[in-house]
Amino acid sequence: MSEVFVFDSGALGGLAENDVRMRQLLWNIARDGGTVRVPSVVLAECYGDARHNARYDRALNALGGTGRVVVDVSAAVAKVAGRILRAARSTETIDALVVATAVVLSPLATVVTADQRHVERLAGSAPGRIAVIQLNQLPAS
Amino acid sequence: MASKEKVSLSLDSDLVAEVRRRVGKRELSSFLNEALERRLQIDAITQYLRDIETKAGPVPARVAAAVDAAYARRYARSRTAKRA
Repeated sequence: MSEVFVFDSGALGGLAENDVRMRQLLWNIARDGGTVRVPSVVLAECYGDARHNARYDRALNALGGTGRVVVDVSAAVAKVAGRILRAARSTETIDALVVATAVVLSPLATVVTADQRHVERLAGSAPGRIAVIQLNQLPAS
Repeated sequence: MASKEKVSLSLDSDLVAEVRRRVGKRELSSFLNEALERRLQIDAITQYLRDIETKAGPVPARVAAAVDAAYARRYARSRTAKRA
């Protein structure tokens, strides 16, 4: 089973901007045969401003296209997210759904995020072992 | 759910035998489906990386080193978070 990398809106936004951190990360993922997934709920945070929609479309195409990379939020994912929210005493529902998607997709999963605070806390409260890569802790140039 | 198509393939016998040992006879199709999906995604990512490097140049060495290090230690960080 390959490792799954779940992107949040910050990670997808970074890719949409051709962020050099995301380029290098994708190089690592592709080299190791990892799989990238984007929970559908992340698109709700990204799309809406017509000036940026085409960039997000290009980012999803770089990952193989919407049909291949975007995964729907199932009832199973939503239930796991609820448990994570409660365990972490958090109200960050979308971030919890991102972490829960990682939990449900693979026992070996990493969330890639630009979120400094919430995601790591939620991942720490998730069942299994979810790794987190925080883009904002890495140099951008 | 994506529609399914039956195909006839010629595969190396030892590979098929190993996959069947691991996942069972009924799961061979989903195993191959997943492998094909992953390969297509890796090809798309590789194409993107080639195109953007041509347009924008290489990733700066300082960034590459920091990202490689974060990638390599991602599970060590998750252990630390669990203990906290």
